[in-house]
Amino acid sequence: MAIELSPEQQLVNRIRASHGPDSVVPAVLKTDERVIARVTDGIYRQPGSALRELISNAYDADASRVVIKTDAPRFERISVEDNGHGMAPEALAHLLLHIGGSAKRNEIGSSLGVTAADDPMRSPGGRRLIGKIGIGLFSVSQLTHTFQIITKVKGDDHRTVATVALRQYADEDIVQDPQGEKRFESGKVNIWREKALDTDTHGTTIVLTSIRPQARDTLRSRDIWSSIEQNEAQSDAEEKQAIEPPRFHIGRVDANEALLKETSGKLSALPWSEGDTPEEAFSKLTQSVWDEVEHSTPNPQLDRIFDYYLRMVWQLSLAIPLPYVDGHLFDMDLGNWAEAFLLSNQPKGAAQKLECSGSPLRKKAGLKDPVGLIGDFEVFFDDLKLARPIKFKGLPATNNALKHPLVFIGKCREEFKKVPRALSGGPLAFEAYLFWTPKVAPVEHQGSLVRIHGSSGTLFDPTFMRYQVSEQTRLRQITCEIFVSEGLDSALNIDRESFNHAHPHSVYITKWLHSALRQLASTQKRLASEVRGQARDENKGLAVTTIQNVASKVWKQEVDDPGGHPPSIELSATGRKTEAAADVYVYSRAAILPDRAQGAQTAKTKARHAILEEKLKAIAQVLASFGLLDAVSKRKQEKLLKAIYEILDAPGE
Amino acid sequence: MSNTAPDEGNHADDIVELTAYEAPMPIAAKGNFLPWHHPRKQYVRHHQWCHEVIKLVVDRPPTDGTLKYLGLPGVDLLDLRHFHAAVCEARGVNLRFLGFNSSAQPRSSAHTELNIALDEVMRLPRIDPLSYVIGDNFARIANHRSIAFTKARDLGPYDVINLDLCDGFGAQAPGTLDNSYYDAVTTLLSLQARTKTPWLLMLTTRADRPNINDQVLEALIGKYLANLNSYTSFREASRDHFAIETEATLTAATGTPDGLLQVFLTGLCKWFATLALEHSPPTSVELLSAFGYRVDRGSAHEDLISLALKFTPTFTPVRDALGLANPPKVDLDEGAMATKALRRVARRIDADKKLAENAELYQQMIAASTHLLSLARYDIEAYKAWVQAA
Repeated sequence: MAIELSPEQQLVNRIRASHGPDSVVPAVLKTDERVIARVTDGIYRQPGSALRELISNAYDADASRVVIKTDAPRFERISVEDNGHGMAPEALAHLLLHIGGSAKRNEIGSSLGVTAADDPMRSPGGRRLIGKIGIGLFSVSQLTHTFQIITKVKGDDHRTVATVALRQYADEDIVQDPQGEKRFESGKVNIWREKALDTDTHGTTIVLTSIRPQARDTLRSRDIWSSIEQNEAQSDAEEKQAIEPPRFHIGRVDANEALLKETSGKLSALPWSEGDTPEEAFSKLTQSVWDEVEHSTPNPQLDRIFDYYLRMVWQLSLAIPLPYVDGHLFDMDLGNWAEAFLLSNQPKGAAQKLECSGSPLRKKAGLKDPVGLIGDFEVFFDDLKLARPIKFKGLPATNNALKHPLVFIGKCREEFKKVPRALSGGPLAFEAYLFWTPKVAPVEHQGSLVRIHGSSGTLFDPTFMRYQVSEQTRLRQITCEIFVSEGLDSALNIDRESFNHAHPHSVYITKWLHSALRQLASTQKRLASEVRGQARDENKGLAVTTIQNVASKVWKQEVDDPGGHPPSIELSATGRKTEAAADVYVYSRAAILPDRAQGAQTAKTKARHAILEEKLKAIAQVLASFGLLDAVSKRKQEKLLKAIYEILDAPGE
Repeated sequence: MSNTAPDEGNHADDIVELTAYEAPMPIAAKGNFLPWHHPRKQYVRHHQWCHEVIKLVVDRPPTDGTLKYLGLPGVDLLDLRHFHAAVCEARGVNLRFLGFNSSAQPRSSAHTELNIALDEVMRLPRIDPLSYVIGDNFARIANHRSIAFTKARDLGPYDVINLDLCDGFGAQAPGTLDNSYYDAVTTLLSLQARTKTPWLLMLTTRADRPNINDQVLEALIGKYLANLNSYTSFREASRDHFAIETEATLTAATGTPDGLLQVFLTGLCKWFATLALEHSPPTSVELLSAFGYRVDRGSAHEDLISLALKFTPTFTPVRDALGLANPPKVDLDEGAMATKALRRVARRIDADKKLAENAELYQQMIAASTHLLSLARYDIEAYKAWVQAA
């Protein structure tokens, strides 16, 4: 009796029978559900998300190396190559016929070689899976209409090659199977096999071959450059806006796309130099942000100092399971450069001082992160080797009374014993740190970042999970990472870029974090008061002007930090800081103050101008206290202060 | 109804990159063999290119263990596969390559195939992950604002530059095109001025009369004549090897295919030497070898020539204005360099002849080509038949 084969098995047999480019197997991509068809059409907001999903897939395939190459700044071709397990024809056929019906995290996974034999939540090599469902590959629809997959498993004497054209989803397009089943067509695919003499190699390469014009524009930072180009074209100098190119950028192509256009006499402005190794280049990228703090802008924002490409690389580096650029905080001996505290998991608890010089934090506090990562995982992105761009040591000095960072460590496992598993979602376990330092840079690192098994699609949440207490400034001084090793996974929404806030695990972590913030605030205030008490005795008798007093008072009220001082305002001839300091706003004197002939001034007018300048600085400090100065770009800050000065200077009538 | 005339742009433009809803097809059966699949190409590849690269690597192993290479590989990446086996694996060095091939453009017909070949090559154990193939024409390097130039600068300087041109290096009129080979090579040499260690330039070019521009030929003849007049050693070598000693014999020689080849090649080497000498520090150029064969079967002489040139940067101490120091003078003898080049041109190897005379060598080259092509998934039986028929 003939056994009837499933469409999937038939496809597998046809792929296996292919012996080269002469025997291409055409097929149609299928999804089982309308919702999944919709999802594969693109659920992500950013082109970078698609790359994050492809890297996550490589991680889940136990790859130790991923190499991403773009033809930046042209962006017509992007390839992602990994040395993971690769896909056998069976796994590829399953993927193509059941997009979104992931083989990961269910029993089929192991038979297809994509998950561990004994645990559908782990990779064959034992890594905790970070890909949510099998839509990862099709997240590329955000970026491209067509792509090519080249994949090979160890021992196979063929590569399997597929070219895919994705279909635009439309609600009215429903395909009826011969069996009458409703199926959704997501695209067309050609599959063939190519002989391989390198039997032992394994891995997958994905080449994105027709980048969507919209995505290409985003990758090229079209929004920034087109406004700059419009501005450049303005003939009237008065009409020209204060639009600056990002401080660092990869350059822009001209109309014929083979040449680069110059910006301020340069074709690109990168923080690294030619000849740097990929590690050195990435380290310089990270350092460039801190250099901004020391020399130009006290609160650098990635979206002001970087173009889209550099920002995307930065965000990818934060999102995927990677080592830190200067090492994991848990592996550091805080010695004499930071103070450590252990957070209480009790709602009314208080943080306890942790004596930890002489050995790494990990040892003192019994910390285990990263638990899920097994083996090396290196990611190369064009010229860079990615690492988490978070630095803890060697941060710039500020005028805050507290000179050392404060490190708050959390460890927590909650079983939810009082509620059935069906309602709680099972146990939740995590470790965390809250790193307080007077200056956190870039601004985008001010917040809390939740990692599940090393991976995060949400990046830093500046609200610290909707913390309602108005401690705006202190919150801007905290970087927090929460490393979840058990649970929370199912609270992630399908795009992996946001949480379902109603999930018990989300609610628990929110409560825990808010309690941690309270513990941090009271510890930091106490320490700052102690230090300030000493300082007051030392500074007794120092004259402070009424003007400075106003600014100081407002800062302390707004910031609620007994150790805090308003940032200095410096007007310099060069526009660069005279010496490295973290909390100084420095402006070009010429851009703000009117040009006055020094010799012609009488002593009286000189004194008047000095007072005006002091007033202007105090006003700038007050604006900074309310976070208003950082709301606009540096050039606009200068225009604003210039206008204020002109009002102060105008003759009163 | 459309609101705009068909030739005007509208909001629907530039939203969808494709014009048809079709997945790309592979290029059909790899049974079309091309001139560079001949065993004689493998002879040049191995006995000239690899031979010189291995010598370079043995003399001075790359400091970071990685050989940097710029080349113009075919879509099947045969050169890179062979270098990997014969140089990298054999000598324990890694390879970082920058290749120029138009198939790297996603719209090109061979893009699917290049992706597969790249997948194979990038997975070889000694290939550096930064290796890259760019779809731009190599000659674009000449423009300092080009992406081609930027990429070449970022991945360089190189230990080996292999310009395997299908056409004539000297075919273009000088000073007319925006991005000529001359400009591209000049730019490459200036990028190479950053290196302190010797490096190789392999140049494969057509060398028959139709592939040499009149003005270029005239300039090279002029250069040759200047050397005849300036350097005794050159004049003597020219007389002994080519029977060219005076302007009259030179003019007569360029009228014959044999003489033309000799003057063109020697003149070309002189051109490179002149460029390199102007660099800071001055760089000496040595023609290591010249190999040739016939593309045009009726040709009496080799019409495709592969030159292997070695560039050696010198060390020059800073000039002491007060004259207290007495630094040794770096003396690059242009005449001696030219004479040596002339002798090497005279001793060039005719690959066709070599293989015709040595059946064992020919069989070795067929076997090696067959192996390379099998790595690139060609039909080996069809290849053997093709070689037989050739």
